Amino acid sequence: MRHFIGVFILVLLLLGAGHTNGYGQTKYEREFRLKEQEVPASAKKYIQQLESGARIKWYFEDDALDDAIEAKFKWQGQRYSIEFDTLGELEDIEIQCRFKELPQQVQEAIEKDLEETYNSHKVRKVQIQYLGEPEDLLALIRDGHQTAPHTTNYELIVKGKSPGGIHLYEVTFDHTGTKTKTARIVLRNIDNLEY
Amino acid sequence: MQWGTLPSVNANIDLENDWKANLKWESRQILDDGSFSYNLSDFSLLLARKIGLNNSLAGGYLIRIHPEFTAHRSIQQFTIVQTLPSIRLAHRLASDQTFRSGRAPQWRLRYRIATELPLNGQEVDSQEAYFKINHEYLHIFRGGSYDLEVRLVPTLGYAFTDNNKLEAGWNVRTGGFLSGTPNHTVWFGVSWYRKW
Repeated sequence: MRHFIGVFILVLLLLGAGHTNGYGQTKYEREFRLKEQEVPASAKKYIQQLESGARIKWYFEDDALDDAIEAKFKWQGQRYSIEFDTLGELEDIEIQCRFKELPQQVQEAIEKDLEETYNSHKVRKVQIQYLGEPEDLLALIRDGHQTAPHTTNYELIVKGKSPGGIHLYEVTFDHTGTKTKTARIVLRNIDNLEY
Repeated sequence: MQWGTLPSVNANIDLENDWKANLKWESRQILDDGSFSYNLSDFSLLLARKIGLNNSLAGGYLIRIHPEFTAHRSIQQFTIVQTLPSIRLAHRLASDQTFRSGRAPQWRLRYRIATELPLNGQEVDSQEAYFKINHEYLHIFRGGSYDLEVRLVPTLGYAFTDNNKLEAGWNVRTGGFLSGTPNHTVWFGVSWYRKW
C-alpha cells in the first residue's frame, strides 16, 4: 500500500512540475447577492421609477477593475441588467435579445468581423447596452421615447475557434457594428462536476 | 444496509494543447459493529482532452487494492457541461471494464448528471459555499448477467479558491435492482479537489 501511495504522489509531482496554466486572461467577475437594504437608495429609486413590477435581484459585482451594483430582472419577456456604481449612480442598462433582433446592417458588420476573427464561431448571448443620462434612458426603456441622444453598444458572448483553441469571448461592438473591445472570458473550474 | 466512509483526493493538472490529467485516490472504510475497518483503496489516472468549449473525452486506468485482491479497470468517458442562465449541468457518459483474477470481467455503462448551486450569488466564487448533487445510473454486465445500480450524492462544498475545493456529503448507492436482492450502501464522503 505504501508503495502505491508513493508512486501516486511521485506521478502527481512530476505532472505538476511541467504543467501550464490554460487560461491567459482577462475577464473574471466575482459577484454576490445583496439584500435590498444594502443597495444605495438612489439605485433603488431608479429601479422603482421603471415601474416594471418585476422581482429584482441585486448583486455586488467585482471584476478586478471596477466594483458595481447590478439589478437583474425579467420584464416583458426580456432579461434586464441595470448597472450602478457603488454610490448608486447609473452606469448602463443592458437588455438581452436575439442576434436577429439587431439592425440588419449591424448584424452584417458583426458577422463579417467574427468570420474574419475566428475560424468558426457561435454567438451565445447578445445584449444591447445603453449609456447616457439616467432620465433619458429611463424614458427610453419605460416609455419607449428617445428624449436625447444616447450611446448604444452591442455586447456579445461568442464561442470562437482559432489556432489557439476554442475559447469564450465577450466582444463589444458600437452602434455601427464596429468592434471596440474583446475580452477572453476565464472559464470557471468545473473539475468537481466532471470527476 | 452497509455504512462507511469514502475520503478522496482529486488532483487535476492542466497540460499542453487542451490536455489535462486527473489523479484520484479514494479509500473505503466500513462501519461494522460500531467501529470502522479499512476496506480498500483506488488509485486512478485519467487523461482528458477538451474537444469543445464545454466537452471533453477522457480515458484512463484504475487500480483497486484490497487486502485480499487487486483489480484493474480501464475507463472511458465523455463529459459535456451545459451552461443555463442560472444553473450549470454536467453530463457524464462513461464505460469501464474491470478485471480481477478468478472472476469474469465486469463491464459497466454509466450516465451521471451533476449540478452545483451556489449558496450566494449566481456563481460559485472563491470563499463561498455551495450545494452539489449528482445522480448516476450504472448498467452492470458480468458473465452474461445484467444489473442496475443507482447513486445519489448530495454534498456541501466550500471553494477556498476556484482551484481548491472541499466537499462533504452522503453517497447513497442502491444496487441489485434486477437480481432480486437489493442492497444499499451509504457512504459519508469527504473529497478534496485541487487543480494546478
